[in-house]
This record gives sequence, structure tokens and C-alpha cells, in this order.
Amino acid sequence: LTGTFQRHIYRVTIYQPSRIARRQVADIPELGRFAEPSLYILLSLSDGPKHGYAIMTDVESISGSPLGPGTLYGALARLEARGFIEALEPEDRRRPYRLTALGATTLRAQLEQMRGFARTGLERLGDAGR
Amino acid sequence: MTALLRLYPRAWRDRYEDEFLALLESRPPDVLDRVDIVRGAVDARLHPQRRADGAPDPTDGGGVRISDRLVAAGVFLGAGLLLAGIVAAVNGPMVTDEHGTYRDGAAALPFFVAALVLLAAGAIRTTRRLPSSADGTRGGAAMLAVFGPATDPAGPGGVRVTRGVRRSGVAAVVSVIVAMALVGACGGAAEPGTPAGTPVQVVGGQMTVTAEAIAFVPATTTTAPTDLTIAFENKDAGIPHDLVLYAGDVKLAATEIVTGPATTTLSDPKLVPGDYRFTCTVHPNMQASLLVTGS
Repeated sequence: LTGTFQRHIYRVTIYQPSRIARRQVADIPELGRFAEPSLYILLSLSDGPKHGYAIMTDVESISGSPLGPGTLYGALARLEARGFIEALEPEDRRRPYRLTALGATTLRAQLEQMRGFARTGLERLGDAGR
Repeated sequence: MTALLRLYPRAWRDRYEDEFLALLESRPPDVLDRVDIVRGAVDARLHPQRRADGAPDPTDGGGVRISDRLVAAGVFLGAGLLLAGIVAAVNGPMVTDEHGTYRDGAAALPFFVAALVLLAAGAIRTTRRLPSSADGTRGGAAMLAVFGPATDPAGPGGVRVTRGVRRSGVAAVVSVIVAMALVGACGGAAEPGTPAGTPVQVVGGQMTVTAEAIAFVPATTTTAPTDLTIAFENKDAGIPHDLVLYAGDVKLAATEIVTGPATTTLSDPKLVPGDYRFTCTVHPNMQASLLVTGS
């Protein structure tokens, strides 16, 4: 019985919310394993243009987990191909990337969804605790 | 480090190599980073995000997949097999048995079965590659992808169809058109007409008409003597033929029907100078002409 209950808790508290979160991120269409790094990159570029290394260190500090160079550039290529970011002129081999208007709009929409998701969850947890 | 970069496709390196190397100089990669770089190379090859000319191409969120290319190639092959099957069926051997005389298209069956499998795989793949948001229009979209390559590839809320799948659709449409044209051409060529071939001059008063591959050889004979001996040789194994001599609509003489290989003789026709024709009772399409000029 305990096992079943734990599995139920797992499904409700971990599996399903993470699926919802992934679904939201995946609205940046079909980015697969690059969906999460892509969202972090958009977030990192939201306060101004950055080049690859700066994005990498910034994302690692926000997310708290390492970001590999292959993953970084896989995500950058996808974001650029979809017009969410644009490349600026290289400065001494390093090429800065800038958020486009489309990218900013997309990021804002993602964050608004997440805020609604978080608020609903927190309210319900608060209600349950009362 | 450059060894790992060589795993990336040319277009990717032209665009990213400099800044990628700069990044790696700022932070020398550890083992996990190297694994990640290799994974990135595989991804850059499978989902190149840009076309060969460097222009961005976010097709279906991941570029054209290898499996899409395989399925598209399969659809091309299936279309080709369909054509081959039609050609095989149209050119099948004439067969006469207890059911009558007909063209045997059994050789086309393996082609048709293989084509069916490949084309069905393409259609199934087309529907499976549609995003879940296309649930309601999945069936219709599949039909569109196959029969109408005009599907909007990335319109807002539109159905996204990959380039490979679109190519499959184009291939299917083109192959159907070509197949129709080919059948039309073959049908035209197969129209029964006057027998062609080199006229044969008979000198001795002895001539032989041969039935071979449901046709008379020679197709045209010219002769001076009127007291002809006409031998009939049926070379079509297992197929019955006879040789009937007509002057206009008047039947002058006929051999018995013989099943090949066999030889018989047309009995003693009395001929005056003029035009005659041979035909076969079993296969009225078989025609040959005989011109008696007189001495």
C-alpha cells in the first residue's frame, strides 16, 4: 500500500507538473532536449547581448547545473534559426547574441505561463495547509 | 580539440567554429564537455538548422531527419516499383488456356505488393510526424501531404509537414502522372494494326508461315507463282494456332488448329493474282498479308 501511495504522490507531485512545465517550454516548438537550455539562454539574454562564454557561465549560475558547449551551440542554432535571437558582429572572434523582439515576446509568454502555474500551485498548497 | 570539431558538418563550422574555439579557450572542456561536444556534432548533422547555403532552416523544429530521408527514398522507390509493375502487367505474355486468351500480368504482382508496402509506410510516417496539435486534421493532413504538396509548412497553427514528407508527396503525385502517361503510351502502341516487317519474296512456289509470339512471320509475302505450297509452323509452345487464308472476306482455306510446337500444311489453295491475307481463328489479331503478282 505504501508503495502504491508513494507512486501516486510521485505521479501527482513530480511527474505531472514536470510534464506540464516541459509542455510549456516545448511551446518553443519541438526543441526536444534543447528546450530547457533554450529557455535559460533566452533568460540570460534578456538583460542585454552576450557571447557564448558569458551565456554559458550565466546559465550555469542561474540553473546551478553545468551547460555543455555542444548543448549550448545546439540551442543557439535552434533559437537563431527560429528568429528568437540574432547574432551581432564578432568582437575578437567572440560573437555576441541579442534577443529579438520575437524572442522577447516568446520569453515573456513563457514566463507568464510559469507565473500562472506557480501561483495556482502555491495557492492550492496554501489552501490545503489552512 | 580541433579533432572533435571535425565531427561537425562544414556549414556549422563555417558559422560557429571561431567563436566555439574562443569559448573552449575561455573554459577548457572536461570529459563531460567533450561528450557533450560529440553529442552536439551528432545533433548538428541530424538537425542542421540551416541549409547548405547557410540560410536558417528550422524545418519541423529539427531539420530533416535521417529516417525521413529513408522513408522519402522508400516512397520514391515505391513509386518506381508501381511504374515497373504497370509496365510488367502491360507487357505480360499472351496466354491461352481453358479460360481463354488473355495477357498474363502475374509478373507484376511482386512489384505491386512492394510498392504498396513502401507507399503505405510513407503515408503512415506522414501522419505520425504531424504534431499532436494536428490531432483533428491528422487524416486530412496526411492526404494533403501525399496528394497536395501545397500544405502550409509552418503557418501559425497550420500543419507542419517536414521537407522529406513534402518531397514524398511530390514524388507520389509525379509518379502517378508519369504512370498514367506511360500506360497511355503503351496502350497506344499495343493497338492492333496492319502487320509490319520486311516483305518476303517467294521464288520456288514453296512458302512457310510461322506463328511465333502470337504473330505471323513473315508479315508480308510477295509471290509470283499461283500454285503455292504453304506450310504452317506453330512455334508457340502450348498455344493453339491455325492458318486461315482469306481473299477479302471470303475464306479460301484453313489448316486445323495445332498446338505448338507443330507443323502442318495449308491444303492446295488455288490462287489468282491479287491480295490475300492470313489470320488465326484463335487470335484474330494475328494478321499477315500475301500478294500474288502472277508470272
